[in-house]
Amino acid sequence: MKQILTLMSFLLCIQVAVAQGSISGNITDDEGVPLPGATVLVAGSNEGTTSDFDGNFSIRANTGDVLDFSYVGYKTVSVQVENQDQISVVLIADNELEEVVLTALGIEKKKDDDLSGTSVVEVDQLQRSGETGVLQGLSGKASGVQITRNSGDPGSGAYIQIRGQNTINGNNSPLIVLDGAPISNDNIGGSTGGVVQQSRLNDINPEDIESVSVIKGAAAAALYGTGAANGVLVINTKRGSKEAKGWSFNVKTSLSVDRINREWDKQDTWGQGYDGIWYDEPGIGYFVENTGFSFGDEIALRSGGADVYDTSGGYFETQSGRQIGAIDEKNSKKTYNQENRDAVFGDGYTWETNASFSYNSEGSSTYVSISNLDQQGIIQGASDYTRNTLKLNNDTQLTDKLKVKVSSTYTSIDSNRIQTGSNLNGLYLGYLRTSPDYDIRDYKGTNYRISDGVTTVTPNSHRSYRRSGGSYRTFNNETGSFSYAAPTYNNPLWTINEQKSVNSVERFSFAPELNYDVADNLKIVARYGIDFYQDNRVDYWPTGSAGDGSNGLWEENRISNKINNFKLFALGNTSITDDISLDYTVGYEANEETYRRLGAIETNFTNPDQVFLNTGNTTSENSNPDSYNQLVRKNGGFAVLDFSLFDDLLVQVSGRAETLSTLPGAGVIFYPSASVGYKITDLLSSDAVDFAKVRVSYGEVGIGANPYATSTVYGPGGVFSSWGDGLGGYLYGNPFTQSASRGNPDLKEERKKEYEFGLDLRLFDNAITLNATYYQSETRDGIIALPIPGSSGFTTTLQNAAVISNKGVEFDITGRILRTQDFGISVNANFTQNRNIVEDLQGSAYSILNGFTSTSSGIAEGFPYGVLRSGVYERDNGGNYVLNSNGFPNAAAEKEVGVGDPNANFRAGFGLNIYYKNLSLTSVIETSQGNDVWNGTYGVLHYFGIHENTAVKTVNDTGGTIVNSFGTEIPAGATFRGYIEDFGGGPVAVDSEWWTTNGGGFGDVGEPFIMDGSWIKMREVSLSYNFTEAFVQDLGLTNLSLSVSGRNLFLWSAIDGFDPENNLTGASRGRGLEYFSNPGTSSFLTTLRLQF
Amino acid sequence: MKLKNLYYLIFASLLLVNCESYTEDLNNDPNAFTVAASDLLIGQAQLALIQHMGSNNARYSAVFTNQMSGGDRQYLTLNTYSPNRGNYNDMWNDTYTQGIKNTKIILADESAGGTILGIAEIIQGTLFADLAALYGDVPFTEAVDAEIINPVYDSQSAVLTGAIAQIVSGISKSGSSSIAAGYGGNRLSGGTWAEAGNTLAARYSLLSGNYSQAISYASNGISSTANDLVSQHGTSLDNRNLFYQFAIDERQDYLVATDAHSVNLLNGTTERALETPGSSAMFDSYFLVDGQRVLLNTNNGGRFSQTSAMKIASYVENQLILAEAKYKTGDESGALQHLNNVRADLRVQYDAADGFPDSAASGATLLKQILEEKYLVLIGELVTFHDLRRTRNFIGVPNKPTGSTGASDFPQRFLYPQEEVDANDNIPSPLPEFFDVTAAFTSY
Repeated sequence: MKQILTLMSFLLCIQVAVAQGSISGNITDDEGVPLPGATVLVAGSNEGTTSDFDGNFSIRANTGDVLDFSYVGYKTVSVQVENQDQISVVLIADNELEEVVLTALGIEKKKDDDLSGTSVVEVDQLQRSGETGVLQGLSGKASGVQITRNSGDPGSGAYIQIRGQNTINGNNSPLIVLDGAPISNDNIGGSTGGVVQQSRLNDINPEDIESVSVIKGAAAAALYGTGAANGVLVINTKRGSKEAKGWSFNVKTSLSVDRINREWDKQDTWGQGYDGIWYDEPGIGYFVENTGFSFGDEIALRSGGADVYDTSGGYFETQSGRQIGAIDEKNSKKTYNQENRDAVFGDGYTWETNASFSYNSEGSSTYVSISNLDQQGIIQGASDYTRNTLKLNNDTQLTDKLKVKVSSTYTSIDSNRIQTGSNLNGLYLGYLRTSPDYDIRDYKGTNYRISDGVTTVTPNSHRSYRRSGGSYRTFNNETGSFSYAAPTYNNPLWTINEQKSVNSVERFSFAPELNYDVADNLKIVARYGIDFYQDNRVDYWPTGSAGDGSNGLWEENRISNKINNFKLFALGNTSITDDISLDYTVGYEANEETYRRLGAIETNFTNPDQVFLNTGNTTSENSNPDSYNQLVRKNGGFAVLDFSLFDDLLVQVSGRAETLSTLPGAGVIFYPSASVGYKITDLLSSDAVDFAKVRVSYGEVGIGANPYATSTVYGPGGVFSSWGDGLGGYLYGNPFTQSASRGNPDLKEERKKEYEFGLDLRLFDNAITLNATYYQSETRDGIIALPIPGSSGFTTTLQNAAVISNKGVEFDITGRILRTQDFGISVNANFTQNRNIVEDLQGSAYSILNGFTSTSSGIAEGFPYGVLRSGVYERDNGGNYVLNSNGFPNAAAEKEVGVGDPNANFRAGFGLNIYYKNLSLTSVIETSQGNDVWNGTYGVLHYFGIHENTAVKTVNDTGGTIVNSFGTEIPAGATFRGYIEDFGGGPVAVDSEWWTTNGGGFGDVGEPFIMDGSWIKMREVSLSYNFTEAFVQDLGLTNLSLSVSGRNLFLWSAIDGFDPENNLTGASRGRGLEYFSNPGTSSFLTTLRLQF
Repeated sequence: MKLKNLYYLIFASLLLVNCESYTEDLNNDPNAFTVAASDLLIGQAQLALIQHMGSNNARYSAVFTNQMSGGDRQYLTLNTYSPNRGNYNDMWNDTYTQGIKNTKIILADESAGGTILGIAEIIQGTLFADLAALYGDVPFTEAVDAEIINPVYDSQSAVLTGAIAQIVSGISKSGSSSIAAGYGGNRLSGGTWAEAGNTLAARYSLLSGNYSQAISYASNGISSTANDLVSQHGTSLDNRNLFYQFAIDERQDYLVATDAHSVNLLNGTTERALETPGSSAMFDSYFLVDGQRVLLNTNNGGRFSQTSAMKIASYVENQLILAEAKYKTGDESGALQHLNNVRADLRVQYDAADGFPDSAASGATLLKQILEEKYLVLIGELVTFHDLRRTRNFIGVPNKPTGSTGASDFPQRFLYPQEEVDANDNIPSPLPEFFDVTAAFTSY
């Protein structure tokens, strides 16, 4: 107080006048620039106001009151009212920026005292992004954090990775701590097929968030011990009004229009059918109905006019009554790429409405919000996501010493999902492969099949390009059941309109907390949190669907998850000597997670003629219940000691000791950490340096085993091939078998040890800030289902076998280029480089994480995590192709690890913020460079003759006869569909023979389809206008703003056809895979915010 | 607040750490069992046997031997005999971990009765012998041993010998137990385990080139078509005939028979060694014509319908083993008799009195008739791939890409699976390639 009074004598210009009553004045910065919106509060009361546009204010106060003047980024000044009616104040920019980070326990700490590379995500940036999911909103906002989208489907989840991948078997999501209690960020599912899954973190309404800190380092996360190896995301929600008047009411409403951001181009010159070269006739093609190939005739050469049908064997009657028979003469020159596209894709819309009320009174603050998000996807069918949230936070000071804090949230989600990926029912799979001369729009009707003079009628027949007559059924008198002949792939319109994948989530979290002040310098906190969700999923594939759904399929899963967490800890501080002070935290935590799934699968619908969304439409042998239960507990004690020595030297040591239910053999596990920081501002004694600190830390964190990994078990048998055919044990007397994975009672925890070095700088009156961190970590004893030879009787054995290292650098930089009253420019940038290597895998050559037998993402000794493995062409010692007798490369029998690396060489984000008067413009550009992707779609579109590359006609101008990969001769001067290439043995004809074998997507070689997936994205550009105070006040509001934003508007990437930021296998560990995944989106967004 | 208070707090929290009881005894999997009786495990071994004989292995064999053709996507590449180790992971692993392992657990069960032990031994011997026939050297003596992670590879001939001995030992234990009473359940049906075991022992003896032994076992082999050892199937999604599941439910158009040698023999495009008017009836049983394509007959009544049984060992195979072995040991009249037994059976099977006339051939013509008959009556059976290689393509099956009919123009083995290559230090080095002949099949 003494210091402030001294300061006041410099700053205050006191004019004596009448006694108490109204006091007015002006607030400026040290350059005399008025500060609009600065807060003036009568200390200890609800009385308050804010300065107007010219920095003027007026407030009622009594003599003896203390007025607090505050403004973000400036030091707060307090002035005692004496007899003046005018008080003018100069606020000085705060060199010790009051920027705070959240510690792992969710407690605020000055960033200047932070000894880890914790990043704070600017919440206004997060909210301005307009992303419906918090995870996606974090994209590009902090160094060291990588967000990968599952797809552009409504409500789709995302993968978050902090400082590289550390674990193979354990959870790969960071620990999420919301208002002090851990919550789930499950991504259940995420494989090469199915639907695009959600991430449970996205259940949070972004508008409720007050602050997000990303704790990246092991030392800072160490007090969580097991489970913190992937970092910690600490999120606090809003707790009360910051307005001087004690309350505020905020409304936000936005509308977003979404479009596909990148699409595949399909050729439209050659029709469905076979290549003439298959009959030794190069350069032409033959129309063949129902084939998958588009190597048919040249569409332009057809006669024109309508196709001629033969209905003698039956026909398909469309819903409008048109009869479609087998094509007798293909005459039409019409192509349908555009019509088909427009039938499937269009604009998507997202409406979002938020209302929140916050209130402060003496001893209590309350925040209540309600929100609704309604997203209709770009897919013009059952693709949507509706999220409703309700939030109530309350802090009440019960007595002088006792405070109660309650945080609660309820979320309800209803969503329709679309089948994607490697899946005969997948949207893109059927859509992209459809021949250009096939109209998909009459996808549903009635099939009339005439066989031996008898007409069989099949209602709800499914028609697609590989079964143009539509699905039909026969009735088996012996078994009393229908059997359907279905298309090979779904018509995309069948996928999006007739099939259903409905998902509904109910979630609540409730976290009460008691704070008891034992003494001025000691507080005890008891905190409980429960986070519960139920995720109900149903899939309905009507009869006539492709693949396993041909006779109908119903699947239902009811998943619930509950996290119970209890913490009891003491926070205190004490002075050890005059120069050494200590802040300490000591506590205990118990955590319990219960997961349950109850499901049923039914096939072979008894009554297929009605949409029936329930179990019970089949016989008992075709109805299978299935359930899974899991209970995991851990508990332990922790202590954090923060020493401050001689003001400039900061030392932190922490430890956690705990036991885990999943590792009964591991006993008590201890994780230590230590950090040292030294503020070197004074040493540098440079006027340019406002603040400088160097820091170094070491920490250990861990990951437990999956539950039940310690024993080898038996269960019901059954055998299935990798193609999906098999014998279900449940239909064959339910025989038992021993698991193919061998348990290990001696498992212990995975342990990540990390060193971190950092530098935090603020220069030139805080115009520039820089946070730089170098880290190096190693996970030892990584638990892996280590592949062992199947001939041993097991295919995997669980072992503490892997060693994974990560090292990298992170930079976060902000720069204020210009700041005046009316105009300002600032920039910010972040840069991340991470190098990851799987150092040891105990001799096992490769272990798949996700993907296909042909190409997969996995781990291998000496390669980065997620490395791609694929079939390659055989090469000699000189690296030349080994050619077959036709001059084409042979496939090597063995697959090669390291044909691609899905990890980026570096990632960076760049933001620009400009304001001019009430108008502000912000933009964020983000990039990822050097990340490889397996473009499986590209290869397969060659196989089918759909890719534009296959629509080329070439004259054999080599002067001699050349052959294609089958050996078919193409004489000199002849034209063929394809192009000439030389693999090292002279010119050869690359054509459908090559694309349908080892030169295409279904060959044994994935090598040609591994591509550089680097991208640069205009992540956001946003223009906002804050309406003038006069205008706003006339409306009875305190604030009104309108903003227009674009998200992912531009994408620069050499990759063809899809957004390389998406990943087929979603938030799973397998990265860098693309195979007919649903497309990504870009959006235009309009947001209106009102504040009362 | 004194430092003393801080110590109290640290002490208190360390005490709490010792709440180990909170996390104890929670890691027993509530979703799985830790015990299973042998009577339950034998069924899984049987399913593994059906899968080994009738799933991927049989389909690859059918394509390699030109009984069928790859028609779409990955199977078009397969049709070019492109090597791909990844193709063999699933079957290899299931045969060892689901078939051989469960039989080993049963054989180690001291309370198990003779019948189940015998059946387990027959199945185990069959799987080992067939692995050796497919891959050459394979883990045998050290395979599926809890103490051994990297089993060594035993020579193909040693495995065949050892595996045949297992089958014979199994026959002696299972006695006259019928397949139905001998745990066949709704998985397998046929005559007795002893009959089936003898046919299997004869098959692998023939593969070893031991004709007299083959004759000896086959003489006690399957005595009638009604006693064939076959799988059983139903109309549910996961119990249908495996060819049906692959061709209709999972991978339409992948597996066809367009241009296949078997089709050409049956539709008259290629002349048969033994004139057979009934070929068209056989064709209709196996195949369907669809425009320019020939598909597997997955219709009701077809060989590959939903509920069609798949043969694991049969009367016709047994007769043709006898025919070939007797021919090779100089008993041509005996050989002719067994061939004509099959013809007689076909006349009954296809209800065609004139469709399958007896043969009166001798010499090499007789041998070709025997082997070609076997090639056609066993369409879709894995043993055809063994026979083609073993007989050095005696019947002149044209290879897929070029039509040449040389003995070595076909893949000579299944490739050691990628996952086995990745993990087993003891795998033969250098790795044999696709067209490297296995030791047992070098000459005929």
